[in-house]
Amino acid sequence: MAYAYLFKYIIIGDTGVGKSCLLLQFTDKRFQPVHDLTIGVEFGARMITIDGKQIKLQIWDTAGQESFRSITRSYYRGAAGALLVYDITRRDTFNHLTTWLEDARQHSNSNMVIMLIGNKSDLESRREVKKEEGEAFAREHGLIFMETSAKTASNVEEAFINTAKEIYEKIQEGVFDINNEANGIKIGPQHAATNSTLSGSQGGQQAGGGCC
Amino acid sequence: MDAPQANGQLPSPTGNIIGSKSSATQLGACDGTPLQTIGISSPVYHVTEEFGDHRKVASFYSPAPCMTPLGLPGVMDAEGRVDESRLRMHIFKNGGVSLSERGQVWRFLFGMYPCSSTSLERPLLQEQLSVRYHAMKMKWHKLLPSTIRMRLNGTDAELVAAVQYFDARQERVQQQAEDQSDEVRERLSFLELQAQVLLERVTFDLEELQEAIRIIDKDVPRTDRDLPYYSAFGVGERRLMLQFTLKKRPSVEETRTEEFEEGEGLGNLLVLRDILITYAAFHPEVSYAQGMNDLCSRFLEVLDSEVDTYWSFSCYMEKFSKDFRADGLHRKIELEAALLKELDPQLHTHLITDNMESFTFCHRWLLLGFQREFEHYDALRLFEILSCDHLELISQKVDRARYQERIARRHSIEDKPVCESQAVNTEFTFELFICATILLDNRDALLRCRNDVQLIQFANSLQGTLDLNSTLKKAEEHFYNYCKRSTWDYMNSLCRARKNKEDHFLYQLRSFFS
Repeated sequence: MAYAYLFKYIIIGDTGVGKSCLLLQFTDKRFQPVHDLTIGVEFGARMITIDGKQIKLQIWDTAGQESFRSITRSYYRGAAGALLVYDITRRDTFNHLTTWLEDARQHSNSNMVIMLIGNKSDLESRREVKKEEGEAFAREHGLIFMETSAKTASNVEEAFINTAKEIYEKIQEGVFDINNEANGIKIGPQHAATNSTLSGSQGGQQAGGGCC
Repeated sequence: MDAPQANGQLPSPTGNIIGSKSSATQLGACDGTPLQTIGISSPVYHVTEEFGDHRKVASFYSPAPCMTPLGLPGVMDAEGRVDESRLRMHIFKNGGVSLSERGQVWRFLFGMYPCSSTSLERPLLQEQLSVRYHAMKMKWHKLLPSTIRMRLNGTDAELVAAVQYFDARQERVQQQAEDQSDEVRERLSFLELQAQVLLERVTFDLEELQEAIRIIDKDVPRTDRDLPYYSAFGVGERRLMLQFTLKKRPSVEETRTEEFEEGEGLGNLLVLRDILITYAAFHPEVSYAQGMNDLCSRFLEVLDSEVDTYWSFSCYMEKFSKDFRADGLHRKIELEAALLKELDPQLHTHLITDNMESFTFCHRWLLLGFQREFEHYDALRLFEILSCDHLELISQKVDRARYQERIARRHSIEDKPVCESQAVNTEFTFELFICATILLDNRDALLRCRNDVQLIQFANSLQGTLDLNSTLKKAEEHFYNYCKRSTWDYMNSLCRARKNKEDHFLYQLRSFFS
């Protein structure tokens, strides 16, 4: 299917916080209570529309455990967006965020948009991390924040799409060099076709809402 | 080069009981008890096996396997010793053993029972291993009482029921322990004391262990839940349960009318949990890493005994724990790349270009022994074949012989030492050949892959689709061809190095490999 842009995402965070379930909910719109353990990396993709443009999200789901870190790290490179996930019912997964963030910033490009996600919001009675704490952490580190539930699908679409919007805005502002694939953005065939006379970076601004 | 799993090589637990036949005889003679009955009369460490085939939760210890002779022809002698190389060859030549033999074969193959042990010695060993394992488990129970029960967030009703069932079962086992005869109790308490003395000096890094338990508790509930072994309940278990409560074999009516106890099937996951935690506690240098749950689960399914799984898994990990460290697996991936370079330089060059994370897409295959690539029972069979190391042992034997010959030659002739390259790289295990075979079989698809995404997609597309028999056959061919070619190259270099006529025989020898 033709797309205007392709954004590469990574999903990171402690083991068992629901990374693979978030991805499955987003790509397949279903919840699998017992999801296979991710070994190394897995992969998913879905098309979304922003500003009338078809954008393909290519999402890399990584294993959470330390022993795989050296394998998964290599996939940080060339990601335009990252979903950093913790589990609101497990304080330790929130406490580890700093390590994850350092790791991500160190191994990815500096413009990468990071969305902080407090997952399992359906388990309100077992909550260990307050929403305000997540918000504060995000504010302090310049991240976007959202609480989601991969089980009820609450905010899952929004999490992936808002991240894409932020990346899209950065493209409009010219922050991302979209001709360099190492930034995790690729101009798609649709874009090239509809804006054949324009260069890539200008095309994004000109064609706003113009195509289906 | 290490000789893996040499005869009688068992980590720590065998102690002084095994080793020689005479020591067992002495032990038996000292109290006049016939050895056959020792160990299997103690109800503490096993649940009765009367309905063995239908039982759902693995017993703590099952006495049957140490007594039954192996059915494989020519593998076991009259006293019950196993000819290790024949066992390995049998597995390799026959493409694995049958389901009914697998459990017992694995107890030898992975080294829980030394092949040199006799059927008289094994019940003693079994008892010692049981007591030792139990003491190990009690040690972390005592130090971290809050972790004895699995931490659940209440969303997994099946598992909550399983935990309740498991607790009740532990109590029953405890009760049985108190009901046994004085003689048995005395013997066991001696073994317990021995185990405690041994464990006395062991210290834990409690923080590290808690972290490991936290991850184990996340992983165990999502391990092999689709397998019948871990699924809800079976008829036999229900009968067994009744047997406990009625203290007799239940009638058909009783079986029908009695309400089923919930959660038994998943109880095996809790057995798996205890094994993994005990392993992590006593192997802090390895601890727990994801993927071990999948591996250990195989042992549990096949052996269906907590104690035997623990020791077999530990033996296996002695050799393979490095795979669970980043550097160990990287090394394996590097070797895979090196092997492919030998077998298909063009494909190798394609896969190491800039936008591919060279060979990391094989990571899961090599970590889990292709567990998700083949159908479950085929994957078990492959694991067994890979673990028998038959081809590797042969090539190592040849390598050792060559080395000795070289040393002998150096001593006899005052020849200037020839710098000899290694003929065959013995680090290329059969597992790497299986992996290479999969790559070569999909050569065209791989050559079409232009980046990581396509490679990962390719790797994922293979899940559950591969045919084991044809893969094995091709891998074996690749293995032999590689050995043949390397040997020819090696002979060729020898021929070039010595041009005098006495070495005519070298030329002839070389021709055998062309």
